[in-house]
Amino acid sequence: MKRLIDACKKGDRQAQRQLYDTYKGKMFVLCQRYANSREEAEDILQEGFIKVFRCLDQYRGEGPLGAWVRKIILNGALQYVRKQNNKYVSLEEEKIEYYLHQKIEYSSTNSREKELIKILQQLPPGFRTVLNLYVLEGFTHQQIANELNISVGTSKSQLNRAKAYFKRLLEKSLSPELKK
Amino acid sequence: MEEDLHKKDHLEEFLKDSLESYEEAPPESIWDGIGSNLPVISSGFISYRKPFWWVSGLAALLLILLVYQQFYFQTQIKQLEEKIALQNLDKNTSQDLGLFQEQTIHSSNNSTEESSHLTEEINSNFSKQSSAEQSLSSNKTSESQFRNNNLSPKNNSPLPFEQAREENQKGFKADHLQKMEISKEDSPTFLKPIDTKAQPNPPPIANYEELKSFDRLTKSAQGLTIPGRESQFKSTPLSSIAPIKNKRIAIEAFRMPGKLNNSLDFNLPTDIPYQPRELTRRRVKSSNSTNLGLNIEYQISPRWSIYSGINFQRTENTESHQLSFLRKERSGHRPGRTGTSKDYQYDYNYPLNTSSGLVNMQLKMVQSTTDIIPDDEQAFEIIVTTEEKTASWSIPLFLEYQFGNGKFKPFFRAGFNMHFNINHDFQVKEVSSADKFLKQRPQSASKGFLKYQANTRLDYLVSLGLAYELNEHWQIQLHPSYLASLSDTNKHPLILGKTENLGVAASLKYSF
Repeated sequence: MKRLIDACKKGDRQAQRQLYDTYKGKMFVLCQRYANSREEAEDILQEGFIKVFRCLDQYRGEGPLGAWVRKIILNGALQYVRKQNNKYVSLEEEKIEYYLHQKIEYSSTNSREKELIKILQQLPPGFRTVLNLYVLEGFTHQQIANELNISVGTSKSQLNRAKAYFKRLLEKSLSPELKK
Repeated sequence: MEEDLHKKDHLEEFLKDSLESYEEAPPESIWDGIGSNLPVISSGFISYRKPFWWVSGLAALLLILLVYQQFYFQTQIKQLEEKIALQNLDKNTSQDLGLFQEQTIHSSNNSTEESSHLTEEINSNFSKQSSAEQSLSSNKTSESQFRNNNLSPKNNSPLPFEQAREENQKGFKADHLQKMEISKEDSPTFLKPIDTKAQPNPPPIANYEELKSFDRLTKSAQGLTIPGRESQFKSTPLSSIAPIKNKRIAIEAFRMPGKLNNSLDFNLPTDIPYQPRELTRRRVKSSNSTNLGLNIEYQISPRWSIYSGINFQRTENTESHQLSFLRKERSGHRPGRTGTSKDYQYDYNYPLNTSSGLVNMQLKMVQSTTDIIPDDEQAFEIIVTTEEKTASWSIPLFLEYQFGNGKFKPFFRAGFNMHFNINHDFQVKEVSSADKFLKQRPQSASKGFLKYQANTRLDYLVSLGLAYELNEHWQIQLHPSYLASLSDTNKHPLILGKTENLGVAASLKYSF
């Protein structure tokens, strides 16, 4: 791995491709969880990996490379979310009813994971971000509050609402197979 | 409470189990986008980026055009010289041959086809002479006719340049005055007969170089020489045809105070934890640069000239850098901070962009934790005053175009300048901050500026100015100039440094 990193630092395209291939699958799922659509996720992934290769000199090998890459991609995703909507938390409650009444189309051929990502993308951005950070990234409410510039109380309430909303979406729209 | 919620919540487990290890391949186009956006690794002192290729291409094109123009112009002059010399030769030989043959025909009374043809020529020659006599009596009218027709009075061939025409007209008058004298005074017996069959004409002129030799002309026309009339072969002096003075050596000294704008394009990972994000404003308090150079100016046409040489440049800059740090800490990670839990001591490695390159300065400061919310973003501003003196050699390659012919000559100048730094004296004069959270004012601990300092730099310059000719040798020039760097001012792989200078240069030029 060290040799691969060194080659990437020197600008070896083959090595960069190899590193990209190693992490692209997981990172793409991560981006999709924070994005509104697959296309947006592709943009986040591209920007994130450009940053990874540009900043590879900063990686000193103190921790696993995967965690370092993940952190950069996640920061990129959060930056993207911030850019998309600065007030993504406070105003969303008004939109909840609107979102709930939206018809969500699911493809029966999709895997369970793909269906879940689709549902996540249907969540209001604020709910989605808090749910992702807490459940899948393992952030504490304090950390979420710092990251999103909200209070700890807001983070907690947003998470509860997000869960409830996610469940409703599941019950409403998912196939019986998925409910199992 | 939170832990209980965790245990009870099956949704979280469901989501974790489903998505934590799930992978999905992104489309192939993503990699194409990444590859095209990755920076090109520079191998030398010049960072090969797009603008460099643009300007290089433009310069190469300009150089090709100049070389072509010079070649074309020289060829034109050569052709003109050859043409005029040949005309003079034709004129002289035909006139002498005509006079001689006239005498030969009259004395021998041989009537052949050739001689009848020659008689026609002689008649036409005499008619030309008589018309020439008329034209001399009313020369102004005749000359104006030739001028209007743009024809050479000798052989009616078109000549492109006024100078050549004037030369021929002068020659025309002189020749005919002489011919008139010959026809009246010289007897055919004074002429030396020659064997026209053995040596009918002068040998053909092989090339232009032969024409340059006056001996060659004399030899070729030996048989046609009229005693005491060698001056018949006077040709137009070649030096008078060439209108261009090719080389001019000029010493130029100039001083260029200007406003500098250095910009750094940071590719540093600003959103990676613990990397201080920063916004920097830089103000140049004073900037003085003095150039002294010896340039050889090569005039490629009356308007265009190219010059190069060697210049010495000394620059003194005093700058004020306003650094704005946006520190963002996250729980559990506090590298770069030492000290007690109350006070945080920071050592920032700060890349300071100065006029002549990147200075890696280490800042030390102590921040009080009172009133600071943990994991909050903190912004604090620091003002650093720096002073630097640089000395460098440079090799310019400029192209200049001069307008007008009077004493005032506007000119346009553009080109490249390669700098080689020989000395760099840098000082941090003052570090201060008005930030209330800073318990100890920042101090510059060390500066490792030489690490990333580029020793060579390629600049380009565009200038539009006015020159005033004091006398034949001295010229004063005043030219607002824009100078910008094509290569990086530093060698840091993630920081791209650029230098821009907009100023007015005043120069004094002495031409030899």
